Amino acid sequence: MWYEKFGPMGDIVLSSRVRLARNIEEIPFGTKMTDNDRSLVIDKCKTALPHLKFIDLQKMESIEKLALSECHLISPEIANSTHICGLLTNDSCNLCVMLNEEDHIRIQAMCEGFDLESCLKAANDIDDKLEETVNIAFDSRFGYLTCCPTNTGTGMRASVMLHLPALSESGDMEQLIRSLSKLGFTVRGIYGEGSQALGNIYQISNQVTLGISEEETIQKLKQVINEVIEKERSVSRMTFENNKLYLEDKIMRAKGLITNARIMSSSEAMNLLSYVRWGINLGIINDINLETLSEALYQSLPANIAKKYNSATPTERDLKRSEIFRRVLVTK
Amino acid sequence: MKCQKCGKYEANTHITKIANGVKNEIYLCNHCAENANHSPELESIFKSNFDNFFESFWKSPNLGFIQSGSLRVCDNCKSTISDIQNSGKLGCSQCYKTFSDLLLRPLKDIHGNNTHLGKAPKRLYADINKTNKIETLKQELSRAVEEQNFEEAARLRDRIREMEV
Repeated sequence: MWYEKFGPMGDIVLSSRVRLARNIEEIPFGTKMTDNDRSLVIDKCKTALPHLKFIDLQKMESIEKLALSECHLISPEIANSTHICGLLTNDSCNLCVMLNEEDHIRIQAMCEGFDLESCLKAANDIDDKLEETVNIAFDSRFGYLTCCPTNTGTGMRASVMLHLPALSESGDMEQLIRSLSKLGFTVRGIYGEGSQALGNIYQISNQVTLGISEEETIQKLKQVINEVIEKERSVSRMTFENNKLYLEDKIMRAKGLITNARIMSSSEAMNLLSYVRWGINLGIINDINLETLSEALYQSLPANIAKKYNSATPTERDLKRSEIFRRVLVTK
Repeated sequence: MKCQKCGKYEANTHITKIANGVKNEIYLCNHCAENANHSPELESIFKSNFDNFFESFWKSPNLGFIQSGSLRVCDNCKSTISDIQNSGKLGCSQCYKTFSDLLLRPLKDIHGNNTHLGKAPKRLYADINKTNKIETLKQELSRAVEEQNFEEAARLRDRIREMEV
């Protein structure tokens, strides 16, 4: 899958995404919708975007939906929804249009590495296509009208997922999160709102959607992310130079554990994978590449294991997880 | 001082609620104070302040401001302003028109601005799309000048001229 690949600035940036929230003028928003309204949303979007494949999420097994949300293809909200909802997607799954999420339509364009512009372009193309036949709710003063006023205006949320082991280890993250929020950006853990920064993976996104254009928002976010990347690299170098032996030891221990253990919980795995990734970037580990590591990471997520191996209990999954690491990370 | 809820009788009860470090005070008459805990209106004001996202959304709500809107109902989806306060969500696109005056301040609180800049649907709002595009290009132009990227600045200037014709 695209999200396992190595993209621009792939040593630090895992993926980029742009999400556009849209609603249909004549249909009430989420809280006021009937099942008829929900079906209507799906029909209109399917007709407007015939080149995308439709997936009926209501008919999908919940474990399968959770697996998709673990890979960030759909939101946890829609994965857990009991209402009529669906997904329009392309073959490579880097374009996902969620139907009947909080808003009627949520266009998501994603890519590996750091490239927000191409995400914006892909999302805009879908939006333009939709708008040819669907009346999108818009107001000349407030812009695109959304269910929650925090998205009103452009309806755009641009976000970048970064692996920041050095800044986490050095304790600089708290300061960074504080200063970014003052600038109108949000920092979250890997699994969105309120989630922990498992494996030192963070998402940074824009907060403001009104009074600033899509392009300008992306420029500002890019600037900020570039600074974060620069800082992570320099702190990483410094940590390595000042504590070479100590850091090498930590990284090699992590590699040893992850490639030999027999029972491995998800949070332990995320923590160890973070050290291994750091070790690859520092040139300490040479026999594993970043793409293999990402492959192992996504395969080892709880719902993905449960779906693939039909393992029902956490213990079964912990056994399976260690097997995956030994297979993927050792033989290659 | 008159009661802040009914405005009819002398206020003799002072209620202070503190949650999450935010202090909210209200002055009520005997009658309103008795009903305070059962009044959905009052509850929603407090609730909006403390419980959910609207804590920051409706910063220091003044009673008159909320009350003036509390009788209004969206023709299309029947939402009231307290529905919106409580859920943090609007009921339909029409709500933005029905409650537009009440939304200006909270939107400014959230975004620091309450006027859209950026893309607009091309088919229905071609004019806005064009004006906003030119505005965006102008911002890009000033950034290019700031960064002394004159080649880019010249290209942007030409595009702006082209669009303004």
